[in-house]
Amino acid sequence: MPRDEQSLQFAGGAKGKNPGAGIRMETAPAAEAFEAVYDRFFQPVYRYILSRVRNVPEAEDLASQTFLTALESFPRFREQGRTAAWLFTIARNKIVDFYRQRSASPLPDDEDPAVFADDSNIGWDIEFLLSVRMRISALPEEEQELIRLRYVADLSFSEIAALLGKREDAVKKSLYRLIARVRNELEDRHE
Amino acid sequence: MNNEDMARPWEDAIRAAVRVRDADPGFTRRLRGELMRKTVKEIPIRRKPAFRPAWAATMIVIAVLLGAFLVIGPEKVVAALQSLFGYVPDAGFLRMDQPFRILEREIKEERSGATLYIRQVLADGGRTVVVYEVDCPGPETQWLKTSTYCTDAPSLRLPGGARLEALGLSGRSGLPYYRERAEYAALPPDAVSVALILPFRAKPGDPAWPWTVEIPLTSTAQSATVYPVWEVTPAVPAAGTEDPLGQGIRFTVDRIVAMEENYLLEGSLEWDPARYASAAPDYTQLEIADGNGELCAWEKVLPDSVSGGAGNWAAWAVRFNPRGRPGPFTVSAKSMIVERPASASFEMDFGPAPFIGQTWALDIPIRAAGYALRVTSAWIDGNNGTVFVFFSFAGERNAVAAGWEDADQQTTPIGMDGLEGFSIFDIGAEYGHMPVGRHTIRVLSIRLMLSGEWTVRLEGIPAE
Repeated sequence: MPRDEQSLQFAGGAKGKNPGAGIRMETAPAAEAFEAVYDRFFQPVYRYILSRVRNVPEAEDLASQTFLTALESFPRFREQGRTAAWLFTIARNKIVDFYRQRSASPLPDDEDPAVFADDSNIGWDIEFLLSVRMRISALPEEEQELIRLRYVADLSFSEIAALLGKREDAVKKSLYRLIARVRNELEDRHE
Repeated sequence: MNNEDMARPWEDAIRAAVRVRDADPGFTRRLRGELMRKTVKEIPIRRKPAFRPAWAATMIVIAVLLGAFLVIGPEKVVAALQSLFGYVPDAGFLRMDQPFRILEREIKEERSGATLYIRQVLADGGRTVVVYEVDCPGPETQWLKTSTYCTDAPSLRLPGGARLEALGLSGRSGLPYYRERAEYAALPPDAVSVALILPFRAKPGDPAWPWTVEIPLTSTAQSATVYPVWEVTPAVPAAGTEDPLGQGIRFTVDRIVAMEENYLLEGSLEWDPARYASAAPDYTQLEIADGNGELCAWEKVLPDSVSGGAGNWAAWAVRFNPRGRPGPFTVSAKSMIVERPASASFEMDFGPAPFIGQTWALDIPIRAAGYALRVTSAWIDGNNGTVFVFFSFAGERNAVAAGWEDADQQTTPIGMDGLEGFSIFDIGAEYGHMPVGRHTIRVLSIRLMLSGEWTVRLEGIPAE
């Protein structure tokens, strides 16, 4: 009998004594909901952490800790629509703890090939990308955070707004103003 | 041109500049397995066998209150009547007006590094339910890598030697540890034991051997807690909200079980078969609010569909704790997941010598059940002689999955990786052997997220 690990199965729906028929949503309590959260947010959370700590083993460790904490608090989490804010808050706390524990250690090399994605560079002038990256790394932390949440973690404006406790349109305006500033500075430099 | 318009060309540059690598897929899968294993292990299994007359009496008092005051919907008053069923947590409903048998005691057996637990057995005049858990042997990555189980569907051997095959399995794999609830036809009235035969593999790819466990049954309720079940009759939703947007879905609460720690609510969905092939509640959008509008924590549980009926019905179930909260309680489903039949197809050329790991970038527009989809990529995965083909689809906003089959080769659908709320999804199927050359892929159905608000109001649930 085929079993559907993902818990949803295409078949004719049937009421009655065959739980295998129709759409199956059966699962251990809370497991399926958490699984959906993991599938949706694991990579964004991981990338966000990696962009902060720039070290793959540390990022894996912090991502594991983040989702373990999330799992433990999941039964109490019922803020529908704020999942990203909840998870990224946990991740940020883990990162704060991480830096607190290793305050004397410098960040690894910015150009560690294991950190930055090379497939996203295709079609771009590498020197130009490096200049963009350097400019961004010189921004105030709050502005770098906005860039990370939007372009590394791929969060929506509403998710970022929920995480930062700001209005969605305010987040959007801040980001676009920031991009305009970065663009103007880089264009000035190239002229 | 405003800031937003001017920023757009630069967004791609910034994204390319700051983008970091995704996590290693092996790490992602291992962590997922670890976490899912924890979710399975955290399920509270009732281990204190206690049918306590005093507690039962308390339940009856509560139930009388329930029967007296239960109101479903702002206008329609209905009665909650004690039904003929009892409820055994995590296992299901049991007919109490007929002879029944349940598991005498929990069973644990270990073989070849695996552990099998028989948690509960319910047998009444209508059916037999076996709840079991398996911890697969060996390093857990062994089973995570194959994404399969160390057991197949078990059968039951009756005392006379006859076999009952499972009519249905439901559960959750938190590989390599998982729990299943297998349902069978009714046992003969005189059966006082039964044997569970579980096809078992110590290693992926091994031939299965029959792990046989004798299960003694008892006809008294001494070995389990059985709660009274209160049937909401007639099972109607709040007036005017059963199908708020005319979307062809009716949402009801049908049964209530008051347990020590929390209450079980079981309800159903009934859908218009002319519009949908199936439907299920979107649990991520289900809310229970108290009389002050404060949201209550709830937990999804396996529904137990004991009622017969036509093919346009599905059960849902949650547990929540109303104690200390003011009523009336409102159960709101803000989204449903429906499946619509489709008859679309596209051509896939696997080439003369496809291999595991091969990927294809595609851009094939199709129209399924009136919805626009694009097939954006395909890839082949597999191991140990098993071949899986996946297609990535991009769809309209509320499309969450699609069902497909290969018209030229037999396929077995495997899970859905569609994420609720996102219109990009990967759907795979298992092939018996590597597909070669041109194949016609038929899209048979599309799964959609349907927004709305289906609300049921429950008044009179005793909070203390």
